[in-house]
Amino acid sequence: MIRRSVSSLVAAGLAGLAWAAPVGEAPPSPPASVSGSIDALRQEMQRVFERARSAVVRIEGVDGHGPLAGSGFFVDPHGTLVTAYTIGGEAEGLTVEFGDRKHPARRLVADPRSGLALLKIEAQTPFLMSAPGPGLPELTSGVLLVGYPVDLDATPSFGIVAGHDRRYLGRYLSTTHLRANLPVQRGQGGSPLLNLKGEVIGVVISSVDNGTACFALPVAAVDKVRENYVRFGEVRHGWLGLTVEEKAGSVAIAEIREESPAKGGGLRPGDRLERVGVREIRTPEDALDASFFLTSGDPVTVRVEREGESLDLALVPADPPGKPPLHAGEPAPFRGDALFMNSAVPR
Amino acid sequence: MKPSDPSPDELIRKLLAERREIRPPDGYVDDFLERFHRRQQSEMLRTPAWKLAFERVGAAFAEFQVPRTAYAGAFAAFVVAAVIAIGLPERRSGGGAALAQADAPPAPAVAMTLAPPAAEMVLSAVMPQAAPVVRVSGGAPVPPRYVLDARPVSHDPPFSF
Repeated sequence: MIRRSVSSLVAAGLAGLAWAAPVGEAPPSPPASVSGSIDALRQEMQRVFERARSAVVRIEGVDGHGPLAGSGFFVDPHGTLVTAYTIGGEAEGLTVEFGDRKHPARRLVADPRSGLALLKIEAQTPFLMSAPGPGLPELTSGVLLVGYPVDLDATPSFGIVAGHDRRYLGRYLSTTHLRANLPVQRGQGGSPLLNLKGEVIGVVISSVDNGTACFALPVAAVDKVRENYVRFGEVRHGWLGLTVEEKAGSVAIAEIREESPAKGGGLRPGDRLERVGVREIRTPEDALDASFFLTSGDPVTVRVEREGESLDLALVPADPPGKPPLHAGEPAPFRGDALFMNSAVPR
Repeated sequence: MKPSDPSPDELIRKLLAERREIRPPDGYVDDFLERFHRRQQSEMLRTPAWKLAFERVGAAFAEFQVPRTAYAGAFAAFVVAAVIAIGLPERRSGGGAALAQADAPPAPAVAMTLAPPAAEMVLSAVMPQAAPVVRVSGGAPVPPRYVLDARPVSHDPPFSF
Protein backbone atom coordinates (compact mmCIF):
# COMPACT_ATOMS: atom_id res chain seq x y z
CA MET A 1 0.00 0.00 0.00
CA ILE A 2 2.76 2.41 1.01
CA ARG A 3 5.05 1.51 -1.84
CA ARG A 4 2.06 1.79 -4.15
CA SER A 5 1.39 5.26 -2.86
CA VAL A 6 4.98 6.41 -3.24
CA SER A 7 5.35 4.94 -6.70
CA SER A 8 2.03 6.54 -7.60
CA LEU A 9 3.46 9.85 -6.48
CA VAL A 10 6.50 9.35 -8.71
CA ALA A 11 4.19 8.42 -11.55
CA ALA A 12 2.23 11.55 -10.83
CA GLY A 13 5.39 13.61 -11.15
CA LEU A 14 6.29 12.01 -14.48
CA ALA A 15 2.76 12.47 -15.72
CA GLY A 16 2.93 16.10 -14.62
CA LEU A 17 6.03 16.57 -16.77
CA ALA A 18 4.28 14.95 -19.71
CA TRP A 19 1.33 17.32 -19.69
CA ALA A 20 3.31 20.45 -18.89
CA ALA A 21 2.09 23.04 -21.38
CA PRO A 22 4.05 25.96 -22.90
CA VAL A 23 3.50 29.39 -21.41
CA GLY A 24 0.46 31.08 -22.86
CA GLU A 25 -1.57 27.97 -23.50
CA ALA A 26 -4.21 26.73 -21.12
CA PRO A 27 -2.78 23.75 -19.17
CA PRO A 28 -4.73 20.55 -19.52
CA SER A 29 -6.33 19.17 -16.37
CA PRO A 30 -4.36 16.37 -14.66
CA PRO A 31 -5.49 12.81 -15.16
CA ALA A 32 -7.95 11.67 -12.53
CA SER A 33 -5.71 8.77 -11.48
CA VAL A 34 -2.81 11.15 -10.71
CA SER A 35 -4.81 13.50 -8.51
CA GLY A 36 -6.38 10.49 -6.82
CA SER A 37 -2.97 9.03 -5.96
CA ILE A 38 -1.75 12.31 -4.56
CA ASP A 39 -4.86 12.64 -2.47
CA ALA A 40 -4.46 9.08 -1.19
CA LEU A 41 -0.87 9.79 -0.13
CA ARG A 42 -1.90 13.00 1.56
CA GLN A 43 -4.58 11.17 3.51
CA GLU A 44 -2.05 8.52 4.49
CA MET A 45 0.37 11.13 5.83
CA GLN A 46 -2.38 13.01 7.61
CA ARG A 47 -3.49 9.81 9.33
CA VAL A 48 0.04 9.06 10.53
CA PHE A 49 0.60 12.64 11.66
CA GLU A 50 -2.64 12.87 13.60
CA ARG A 51 -1.94 9.62 15.42
CA ALA A 52 1.69 10.46 16.19
CA ARG A 53 1.44 14.09 17.27
CA SER A 54 -0.07 13.32 20.68
CA ALA A 55 3.00 11.23 21.56
CA VAL A 56 5.53 13.81 20.34
CA VAL A 57 6.47 16.48 22.88
CA ARG A 58 8.58 19.57 23.31
CA ILE A 59 11.37 19.24 25.87
CA GLU A 60 13.02 22.16 27.63
CA GLY A 61 15.98 22.42 29.94
CA VAL A 62 19.02 24.48 30.81
CA ASP A 63 22.62 23.59 30.11
CA GLY A 64 25.88 25.50 30.38
CA HIS A 65 24.94 27.67 27.42
CA GLY A 66 21.49 28.66 28.69
CA PRO A 67 17.95 27.46 28.07
CA LEU A 68 17.40 24.95 25.28
CA ALA A 69 14.42 23.28 23.62
CA GLY A 70 14.00 20.26 21.42
CA SER A 71 11.66 17.41 20.61
CA GLY A 72 11.13 13.89 21.89
CA PHE A 73 8.50 11.15 21.91
CA PHE A 74 6.98 8.68 24.32
CA VAL A 75 7.86 5.04 23.93
CA ASP A 76 5.68 3.53 26.64
CA PRO A 77 2.44 4.37 28.45
CA HIS A 78 4.26 5.30 31.66
CA GLY A 79 5.92 8.45 30.44
CA THR A 80 9.29 7.15 29.19
CA LEU A 81 10.50 9.19 26.26
CA VAL A 82 13.39 9.22 23.84
CA THR A 83 15.23 12.31 22.71
CA ALA A 84 18.64 13.36 21.44
CA TYR A 85 21.62 13.45 23.80
CA THR A 86 22.22 17.13 23.08
CA ILE A 87 18.75 17.89 24.43
CA GLY A 88 18.31 15.56 27.38
CA GLY A 89 21.80 14.21 27.93
CA GLU A 90 23.33 16.94 30.07
CA ALA A 91 20.71 19.65 30.58
CA GLU A 92 19.20 20.25 34.01
CA GLY A 93 15.71 21.32 34.99
CA LEU A 94 14.19 19.24 32.21
CA THR A 95 10.50 19.71 31.56
CA VAL A 96 8.17 18.11 29.04
CA GLU A 97 5.15 19.89 27.62
CA PHE A 98 2.44 17.27 27.58
CA GLY A 99 -1.25 17.95 27.64
CA ASP A 100 -1.89 21.40 28.96
CA ARG A 101 0.98 21.53 31.40
CA LYS A 102 4.69 21.07 31.85
CA HIS A 103 5.88 17.97 33.60
CA PRO A 104 9.26 17.78 35.32
CA ALA A 105 11.33 15.04 33.72
CA ARG A 106 14.13 12.93 35.13
CA ARG A 107 16.94 11.49 33.10
CA LEU A 108 17.13 7.72 32.90
CA VAL A 109 19.99 7.32 30.45
CA ALA A 110 22.39 9.62 28.63
CA ASP A 111 24.48 7.89 26.00
CA PRO A 112 26.88 10.09 24.05
CA ARG A 113 28.01 7.20 21.84
CA SER A 114 24.58 6.75 20.30
CA GLY A 115 23.55 10.38 20.73
CA LEU A 116 20.43 9.41 22.69
CA ALA A 117 18.89 10.20 26.05
CA LEU A 118 15.97 8.51 27.81
CA LEU A 119 13.77 10.64 30.06
CA LYS A 120 10.71 9.95 32.13
CA ILE A 121 7.76 11.92 33.41
CA GLU A 122 5.17 10.76 35.91
CA ALA A 123 2.08 10.51 33.73
CA GLN A 124 0.08 8.10 31.65
CA THR A 125 1.00 8.88 28.08
CA PRO A 126 0.28 7.86 24.51
CA PHE A 127 3.30 6.33 22.83
CA LEU A 128 4.76 5.33 19.49
CA MET A 129 5.70 1.82 18.50
CA SER A 130 8.96 0.81 16.88
CA ALA A 131 9.16 -0.79 13.47
CA PRO A 132 9.84 -4.49 14.00
CA GLY A 133 13.10 -6.20 13.05
CA PRO A 134 16.71 -5.05 12.87
CA GLY A 135 16.60 -4.24 9.15
CA LEU A 136 16.81 -0.74 7.79
CA PRO A 137 14.04 0.72 5.63
CA GLU A 138 14.73 0.57 1.92
CA LEU A 139 16.02 3.57 0.05
CA THR A 140 13.26 5.76 -1.40
CA SER A 141 10.83 4.60 1.31
CA GLY A 142 8.48 7.39 2.31
CA VAL A 143 9.10 8.80 5.81
CA LEU A 144 7.41 11.38 7.99
CA LEU A 145 9.06 13.44 10.70
CA VAL A 146 6.99 14.98 13.50
CA GLY A 147 8.67 17.54 15.73
CA TYR A 148 8.58 21.01 17.19
CA PRO A 149 10.51 23.51 15.04
CA VAL A 150 11.62 26.57 17.04
CA ASP A 151 8.61 27.79 19.05
CA LEU A 152 6.01 26.46 16.65
CA ASP A 153 3.48 23.69 17.10
CA ALA A 154 4.01 20.03 16.21
CA THR A 155 4.87 19.96 12.52
CA PRO A 156 5.13 17.16 9.95
CA SER A 157 7.82 16.92 7.27
CA PHE A 158 7.63 14.40 4.47
CA GLY A 159 10.53 12.89 2.55
CA ILE A 160 12.26 9.68 1.56
CA VAL A 161 15.04 7.51 2.93
CA ALA A 162 18.04 8.66 0.93
CA GLY A 163 20.91 6.72 2.46
CA HIS A 164 22.24 4.22 4.98
CA ASP A 165 25.39 6.05 5.95
CA ARG A 166 28.37 5.18 8.09
CA ARG A 167 30.55 8.09 7.17
CA TYR A 168 29.98 11.81 6.99
CA LEU A 169 32.42 14.57 6.13
CA GLY A 170 35.41 12.24 6.47
CA ARG A 171 34.47 10.88 9.87
CA TYR A 172 32.87 7.61 10.89
CA LEU A 173 29.48 7.42 12.56
CA SER A 174 29.00 5.31 15.68
CA THR A 175 26.68 3.02 13.72
CA THR A 176 24.80 3.09 10.44
CA HIS A 177 22.52 6.11 10.30
CA LEU A 178 19.48 6.72 8.17
CA ARG A 179 19.71 9.77 5.96
CA ALA A 180 16.29 11.15 5.13
CA ASN A 181 15.77 13.79 2.49
CA LEU A 182 13.25 16.01 4.20
CA PRO A 183 13.47 19.55 5.54
CA VAL A 184 14.28 19.92 9.23
CA GLN A 185 14.48 22.99 11.42
CA ARG A 186 16.06 23.91 14.74
CA GLY A 187 14.17 22.36 17.62
CA GLN A 188 13.44 19.13 15.77
CA GLY A 189 16.39 17.25 17.21
CA GLY A 190 15.02 14.17 18.99
CA SER A 191 11.95 13.92 16.76
CA PRO A 192 10.73 10.51 15.64
CA LEU A 193 11.17 9.47 12.03
CA LEU A 194 8.13 7.40 11.06
CA ASN A 195 7.31 5.10 8.20
CA LEU A 196 3.92 5.42 6.59
CA LYS A 197 2.51 2.81 8.96
CA GLY A 198 3.22 5.22 11.80
CA GLU A 199 6.04 3.09 13.23
CA VAL A 200 9.23 4.68 14.50
CA ILE A 201 12.17 3.87 12.26
CA GLY A 202 14.64 6.34 13.74
CA VAL A 203 15.35 9.33 15.97
CA VAL A 204 16.50 12.58 14.39
CA ILE A 205 20.02 13.29 15.60
CA SER A 206 21.35 15.98 13.31
CA SER A 207 20.68 17.98 10.20
CA VAL A 208 22.53 17.52 6.93
CA ASP A 209 23.64 20.46 4.85
CA ASN A 210 21.74 23.27 6.54
CA GLY A 211 18.54 21.40 7.19
CA THR A 212 17.76 20.09 3.73
CA ALA A 213 18.05 16.55 5.10
CA CYS A 214 18.68 14.82 8.41
CA PHE A 215 20.48 11.92 10.02
CA ALA A 216 18.44 9.60 12.21
CA LEU A 217 19.66 6.87 14.52
CA PRO A 218 17.91 3.65 13.40
CA VAL A 219 15.38 2.17 15.74
CA ALA A 220 17.52 -0.96 16.21
CA ALA A 221 20.17 1.22 17.87
CA VAL A 222 17.49 2.92 19.96
CA ASP A 223 16.22 -0.48 21.10
CA LYS A 224 19.77 -1.51 22.08
CA VAL A 225 19.96 1.53 24.38
CA ARG A 226 16.52 0.86 25.85
CA GLU A 227 17.18 -2.85 26.29
CA ASN A 228 20.44 -2.11 28.10
CA TYR A 229 18.63 0.30 30.40
CA VAL A 230 15.93 -2.25 31.18
CA ARG A 231 18.49 -4.90 32.06
CA PHE A 232 21.26 -2.91 33.70
CA GLY A 233 19.96 0.55 34.42
CA GLU A 234 22.64 1.95 32.10
CA VAL A 235 24.02 1.53 28.60
CA ARG A 236 26.83 -1.03 28.47
CA HIS A 237 28.73 -0.81 25.23
CA GLY A 238 30.91 -3.84 24.72
CA TRP A 239 34.63 -3.81 23.94
CA LEU A 240 36.70 -6.58 22.36
CA GLY A 241 40.10 -4.93 22.20
CA LEU A 242 41.02 -5.32 18.55
CA THR A 243 41.84 -3.15 15.56
CA VAL A 244 40.84 -4.14 12.04
CA GLU A 245 42.05 -3.10 8.60
CA GLU A 246 41.06 -3.76 5.03
CA LYS A 247 43.29 -6.35 3.45
CA ALA A 248 42.86 -7.87 -0.03
CA GLY A 249 39.13 -7.21 -0.13
CA SER A 250 38.43 -8.50 3.36
CA VAL A 251 38.64 -7.29 6.92
CA ALA A 252 41.64 -8.53 8.82
CA ILE A 253 42.57 -8.17 12.47
CA ALA A 254 45.58 -5.89 12.60
CA GLU A 255 46.17 -5.69 16.32
CA ILE A 256 44.91 -7.24 19.52
CA ARG A 257 45.26 -5.59 22.92
CA GLU A 258 46.79 -7.51 25.77
CA GLU A 259 44.36 -8.64 28.43
CA SER A 260 41.39 -8.03 26.16
CA PRO A 261 38.34 -10.20 25.41
CA ALA A 262 39.69 -10.73 21.88
CA LYS A 263 42.97 -12.09 23.26
CA GLY A 264 41.23 -14.26 25.82
CA GLY A 265 38.75 -15.56 23.25
CA GLY A 266 41.43 -16.85 20.90
CA LEU A 267 41.50 -14.22 18.15
CA ARG A 268 44.85 -13.64 16.48
CA PRO A 269 46.32 -10.89 14.31
CA GLY A 270 45.81 -11.81 10.66
CA ASP A 271 42.46 -13.52 11.23
CA ARG A 272 39.88 -12.37 8.70
CA LEU A 273 36.59 -11.30 10.25
CA GLU A 274 33.52 -12.78 8.60
CA ARG A 275 30.78 -12.18 11.13
CA VAL A 276 30.28 -10.52 14.51
CA GLY A 277 27.08 -11.69 16.15
CA VAL A 278 24.42 -11.71 13.44
CA ARG A 279 26.13 -9.12 11.27
CA GLU A 280 28.19 -9.95 8.21
CA ILE A 281 31.56 -8.18 7.97
CA ARG A 282 32.71 -7.10 4.52
CA THR A 283 34.27 -3.73 5.22
CA PRO A 284 35.90 -2.14 8.27
CA GLU A 285 32.78 0.01 8.61
CA ASP A 286 30.74 -3.19 8.95
CA ALA A 287 32.90 -4.19 11.90
CA LEU A 288 32.46 -0.79 13.50
CA ASP A 289 28.72 -0.98 12.98
CA ALA A 290 28.56 -4.45 14.53
CA SER A 291 30.59 -3.30 17.52
CA PHE A 292 27.89 -0.78 18.41
CA PHE A 293 25.52 -3.63 19.23
CA LEU A 294 27.94 -5.46 21.54
CA THR A 295 26.95 -5.43 25.17
CA SER A 296 29.45 -5.77 27.95
CA GLY A 297 29.01 -9.16 29.58
CA ASP A 298 26.80 -10.63 26.82
CA PRO A 299 28.58 -13.46 24.92
CA VAL A 300 28.92 -12.95 21.18
CA THR A 301 30.03 -15.35 18.50
CA VAL A 302 32.75 -14.08 16.20
CA ARG A 303 33.38 -15.99 12.98
CA VAL A 304 36.85 -15.66 11.48
CA GLU A 305 38.75 -17.29 8.65
CA ARG A 306 42.14 -18.59 9.66
CA GLU A 307 44.39 -20.49 7.23
CA GLY A 308 41.44 -21.23 4.93
CA GLU A 309 39.22 -22.48 7.73
CA SER A 310 36.19 -20.82 9.34
CA LEU A 311 36.19 -20.70 13.14
CA ASP A 312 33.41 -19.66 15.47
CA LEU A 313 34.81 -18.20 18.67
CA ALA A 314 32.76 -17.24 21.71
CA LEU A 315 33.85 -13.96 23.20
CA VAL A 316 32.54 -11.99 26.14
CA PRO A 317 32.88 -8.25 25.51
CA ALA A 318 34.09 -6.16 28.43
CA ASP A 319 33.58 -2.56 29.45
CA PRO A 320 35.70 -0.18 27.38
CA PRO A 321 39.00 0.75 29.05
CA GLY A 322 38.63 3.69 31.37
CA LYS A 323 35.09 2.91 32.45
CA PRO A 324 34.82 2.18 36.17
CA PRO A 325 33.89 -1.47 36.73
CA LEU A 326 30.64 -2.43 38.39
CA HIS A 327 30.81 -3.44 42.01
CA ALA A 328 31.09 -7.19 42.35
CA GLY A 329 27.84 -8.83 43.34
CA GLU A 330 25.78 -5.71 42.74
CA PRO A 331 22.49 -6.76 41.16
CA ALA A 332 21.47 -4.92 38.05
CA PRO A 333 18.34 -2.87 38.69
CA PHE A 334 15.27 -4.10 36.88
CA ARG A 335 13.53 -1.41 34.86
CA GLY A 336 10.04 -2.68 34.31
CA ASP A 337 8.77 0.74 33.38
CA ALA A 338 10.71 0.71 30.11
CA LEU A 339 9.66 -2.76 28.99
CA PHE A 340 7.03 -1.61 26.55
CA MET A 341 8.64 -1.94 23.17
CA ASN A 342 6.93 -2.34 19.83
CA SER A 343 3.59 -1.46 21.36
CA ALA A 344 0.82 0.16 19.43
CA VAL A 345 -0.30 3.76 19.57
CA PRO A 346 -3.68 3.94 21.27
CA ARG A 347 -6.28 4.74 18.68
CA MET B 1 5.53 111.63 71.77
CA LYS B 2 6.04 114.50 74.20
CA PRO B 3 4.47 117.88 73.45
CA SER B 4 7.90 119.52 73.50
CA ASP B 5 9.26 117.13 70.89
CA PRO B 6 9.48 118.57 67.38
CA SER B 7 6.96 117.26 64.93
CA PRO B 8 8.10 115.01 62.10
CA ASP B 9 7.58 117.79 59.64
CA GLU B 10 9.82 119.98 61.73
CA LEU B 11 12.50 117.32 61.84
CA ILE B 12 12.41 116.81 58.10
CA ARG B 13 12.61 120.49 57.48
CA LYS B 14 15.63 120.71 59.80
CA LEU B 15 17.32 117.76 58.12
CA LEU B 16 16.85 119.20 54.66
CA ALA B 17 18.25 122.51 55.84
CA GLU B 18 21.38 120.79 57.11
CA ARG B 19 21.78 118.68 53.96
CA ARG B 20 21.25 121.54 51.60
CA GLU B 21 24.89 122.43 51.86
CA ILE B 22 26.15 118.87 51.40
CA ARG B 23 27.42 118.10 47.97
CA PRO B 24 28.54 114.64 46.78
CA PRO B 25 32.09 114.46 45.44
CA ASP B 26 32.64 114.79 41.75
CA GLY B 27 31.97 111.59 39.80
CA TYR B 28 29.81 110.20 42.60
CA VAL B 29 26.91 109.40 40.24
CA ASP B 30 28.96 108.54 37.13
CA ASP B 31 28.84 104.72 37.55
CA PHE B 32 25.67 104.78 39.52
CA LEU B 33 23.74 102.76 36.90
CA GLU B 34 26.50 100.19 36.58
CA ARG B 35 26.67 99.67 40.33
CA PHE B 36 22.92 99.38 40.47
CA HIS B 37 22.91 96.59 37.86
CA ARG B 38 25.72 94.76 39.65
CA ARG B 39 23.87 94.87 42.92
CA GLN B 40 20.66 93.73 41.21
CA GLN B 41 22.45 90.75 39.67
CA SER B 42 24.00 89.71 42.96
CA GLU B 43 20.58 90.00 44.54
CA MET B 44 19.11 87.74 41.85
CA LEU B 45 21.81 85.16 42.33
CA ARG B 46 20.93 84.88 46.00
CA THR B 47 17.24 84.42 45.18
CA PRO B 48 16.02 80.84 44.45
CA ALA B 49 15.10 80.11 40.83
CA TRP B 50 11.57 79.01 41.69
CA LYS B 51 10.99 82.31 43.40
CA LEU B 52 12.18 84.25 40.38
CA ALA B 53 10.03 82.20 38.06
CA PHE B 54 7.05 82.70 40.30
CA GLU B 55 7.61 86.43 40.40
CA ARG B 56 7.96 86.65 36.62
CA VAL B 57 4.86 84.58 35.98
CA GLY B 58 3.00 86.65 38.48
CA ALA B 59 4.21 89.83 36.81
CA ALA B 60 3.13 88.51 33.38
CA PHE B 61 -0.32 87.57 34.59
CA ALA B 62 -0.66 90.83 36.40
CA GLU B 63 -0.91 92.53 33.02
CA PHE B 64 -4.14 90.64 32.19
CA GLN B 65 -7.33 92.01 33.48
CA VAL B 66 -8.97 88.73 34.53
CA PRO B 67 -11.17 88.07 37.51
CA ARG B 68 -9.68 86.18 40.42
CA THR B 69 -12.19 83.34 39.96
CA ALA B 70 -10.56 82.55 36.60
CA TYR B 71 -7.43 81.28 38.38
CA ALA B 72 -9.48 78.96 40.53
CA GLY B 73 -11.34 77.71 37.47
CA ALA B 74 -8.13 77.02 35.57
CA PHE B 75 -6.68 75.12 38.50
CA ALA B 76 -9.82 73.00 38.79
CA ALA B 77 -9.69 72.18 35.07
CA PHE B 78 -6.04 71.14 35.44
CA VAL B 79 -6.89 68.79 38.32
CA VAL B 80 -9.73 67.16 36.36
CA ALA B 81 -7.49 66.67 33.31
CA ALA B 82 -4.76 65.09 35.46
CA VAL B 83 -7.20 62.67 37.09
CA ILE B 84 -8.50 61.56 33.68
CA ALA B 85 -5.00 61.13 32.26
CA ILE B 86 -3.87 58.98 35.18
CA GLY B 87 -6.97 56.80 35.19
CA LEU B 88 -7.16 56.15 31.43
CA PRO B 89 -4.36 53.50 31.04
CA GLU B 90 -5.86 51.35 33.79
CA ARG B 91 -9.22 51.37 32.08
CA ARG B 92 -7.56 50.37 28.80
CA SER B 93 -5.76 47.36 30.30
CA GLY B 94 -8.66 46.08 32.36
CA GLY B 95 -12.02 47.15 31.24
CA GLY B 96 -10.94 47.60 27.64
CA ALA B 97 -9.91 43.97 27.27
CA ALA B 98 -13.16 42.83 28.78
CA LEU B 99 -15.00 45.00 26.31
CA ALA B 100 -13.07 43.53 23.39
CA GLN B 101 -13.82 40.00 24.54
CA ALA B 102 -17.47 40.81 24.89
CA ASP B 103 -17.59 42.09 21.31
CA ALA B 104 -15.59 39.21 19.84
CA PRO B 105 -17.31 36.04 18.62
CA PRO B 106 -17.10 33.06 21.00
CA ALA B 107 -13.65 31.41 20.72
CA PRO B 108 -12.39 28.00 21.89
CA ALA B 109 -10.98 27.85 25.40
CA VAL B 110 -7.44 27.27 24.16
CA ALA B 111 -7.52 30.44 22.11
CA MET B 112 -8.69 32.42 25.12
CA THR B 113 -5.84 31.22 27.30
CA LEU B 114 -3.30 32.03 24.63
CA ALA B 115 -4.47 35.62 24.18
CA PRO B 116 -1.38 37.39 25.65
CA PRO B 117 1.19 35.44 23.52
CA ALA B 118 -0.96 36.05 20.46
CA ALA B 119 -0.69 39.76 21.09
CA GLU B 120 3.09 39.43 21.19
CA MET B 121 3.08 37.53 17.93
CA VAL B 122 1.20 40.35 16.24
CA LEU B 123 3.85 42.83 17.35
CA SER B 124 6.58 40.58 16.06
CA ALA B 125 4.88 40.27 12.72
CA VAL B 126 5.01 44.05 12.37
CA MET B 127 8.72 43.98 13.19
CA PRO B 128 9.99 40.81 11.51
CA GLN B 129 13.54 41.32 12.71
CA ALA B 130 12.42 40.65 16.27
CA ALA B 131 12.02 36.96 17.05
CA PRO B 132 8.78 36.26 18.88
CA VAL B 133 9.34 35.35 22.48
CA VAL B 134 6.77 33.04 23.98
CA ARG B 135 7.01 32.99 27.73
CA VAL B 136 6.52 29.33 28.42
CA SER B 137 8.89 28.94 31.36
CA GLY B 138 7.47 31.00 34.16
CA GLY B 139 7.77 34.32 32.39
CA ALA B 140 11.48 33.99 31.52
CA PRO B 141 11.99 36.29 28.52
CA VAL B 142 15.17 34.57 27.29
CA PRO B 143 14.36 32.52 24.15
CA PRO B 144 15.74 28.99 24.35
CA ARG B 145 18.33 27.53 22.02
CA TYR B 146 16.41 25.28 19.66
CA VAL B 147 18.49 22.15 19.28
CA LEU B 148 19.35 20.36 16.07
CA ASP B 149 22.97 19.32 15.75
CA ALA B 150 24.88 19.99 12.56
CA ARG B 151 26.45 16.50 12.55
CA PRO B 152 25.91 13.22 14.35
CA VAL B 153 28.28 11.53 16.77
CA SER B 154 31.33 10.56 14.73
CA HIS B 155 34.99 9.81 15.12
CA ASP B 156 38.19 9.26 13.21
CA PRO B 157 39.81 5.92 12.34
CA PRO B 158 41.43 3.57 13.34
CA PHE B 159 38.74 0.94 13.51
CA SER B 160 39.23 -0.21 17.05
CA PHE B 161 36.54 -1.68 19.21
